[in-house]
Amino acid sequence: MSQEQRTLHGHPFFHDLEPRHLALVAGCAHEVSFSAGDYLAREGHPADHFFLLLSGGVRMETSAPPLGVLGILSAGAGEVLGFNWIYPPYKWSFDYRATVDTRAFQMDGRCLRGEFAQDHELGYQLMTRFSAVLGRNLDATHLQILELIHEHGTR
Amino acid sequence: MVITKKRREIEGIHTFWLEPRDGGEFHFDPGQFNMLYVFGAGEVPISISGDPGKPGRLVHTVRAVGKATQRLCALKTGESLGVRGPFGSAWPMAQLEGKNIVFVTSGLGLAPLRPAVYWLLNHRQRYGKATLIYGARNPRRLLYVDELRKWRGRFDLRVELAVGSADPTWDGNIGVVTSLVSKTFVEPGNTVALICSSERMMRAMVEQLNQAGLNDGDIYLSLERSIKCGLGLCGHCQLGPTFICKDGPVYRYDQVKGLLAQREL
Repeated sequence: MSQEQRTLHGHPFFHDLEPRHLALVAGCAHEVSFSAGDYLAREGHPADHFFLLLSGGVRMETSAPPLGVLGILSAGAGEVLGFNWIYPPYKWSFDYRATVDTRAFQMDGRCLRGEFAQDHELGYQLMTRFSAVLGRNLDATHLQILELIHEHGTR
Repeated sequence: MVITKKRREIEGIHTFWLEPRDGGEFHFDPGQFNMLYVFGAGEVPISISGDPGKPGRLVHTVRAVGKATQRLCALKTGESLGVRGPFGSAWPMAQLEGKNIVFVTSGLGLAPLRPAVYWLLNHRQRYGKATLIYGARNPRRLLYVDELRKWRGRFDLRVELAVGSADPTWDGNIGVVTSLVSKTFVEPGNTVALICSSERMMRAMVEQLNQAGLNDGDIYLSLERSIKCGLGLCGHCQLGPTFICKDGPVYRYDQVKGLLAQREL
């Protein structure tokens, strides 16, 4: 197992992935680093990849006039960022900005989609993982909406 | 009692410091509530949010929701209001000695939990590790900000905050408070959680605590219902076989688990 595969295996998102699949995803991965303030992705730009955070911190942001720039989610080591590479039109829905120096694996979405076409089991494994993350995010969003309703409904 | 101090916490939420006119003391256990009577407007149940170690001053944090609480929040320093109490069950702080304590709360839920935090800090050597996990809609909606800042500066209380959204000046967590439970190391086995929030949010908190390894019997929560008499007589706050004003508001989760998710009882 290469050093890259070992690091990928150490990330919670891939920790129980079979070695043969790990080798395939490692072929679509490269390590990147960002300084505090750097953007990992910009809203509306092509989304050809996602990130597995290894260290540091990233904030999902958007411009929401008249409130200005609003952070709506923060993420740190062990988390996965970016889903827009999975489905058309493959564009980032939000900005992602490093709040501190950050290291991550940048996973090439086009490369992975190509691997999925050859190996449906790999596609299933990754989509199962992404579904779990998306499901948790959706649950969290619903809870936040309910808190808003609770706060305003009792006024 | 007479209002000796009033502070606006955030929009629509005020904290009142009350003292008996005769200068006496008001003893209570963390988690209990009082019925506050505003002359001509009615009576409302409000959790006590002050320090149980300082019985000379009674502290309540009130959100202006209906007629009585709106009138209450309009009262000024020097004016009076009626106080009946304390009522209800308490966070079982004496029973929890030797345990690690994790407080999980959001929004105004910090008010009923704050006396338990004070109790723990007043008797710090009797407890293991202590963590406060607190969430709000945005940084401006965090209650007791000065106190949170002080608590964050302590070496014997870990404070983790999350807000739903924030401008770039906020350098803390952004997200729902339950996500902090999984991100914060909670040591199962000798850890007890005390939680207070809206009921649906508490069910989500319990789910996260369960995933962290806590059993239902290790979780205590404070419930809120329409409390009218405070004595278990009128039945307004009945939840199945239990009266929240008398048997609650603090319950061990396994005692009420089956009642919470039911639409009709």
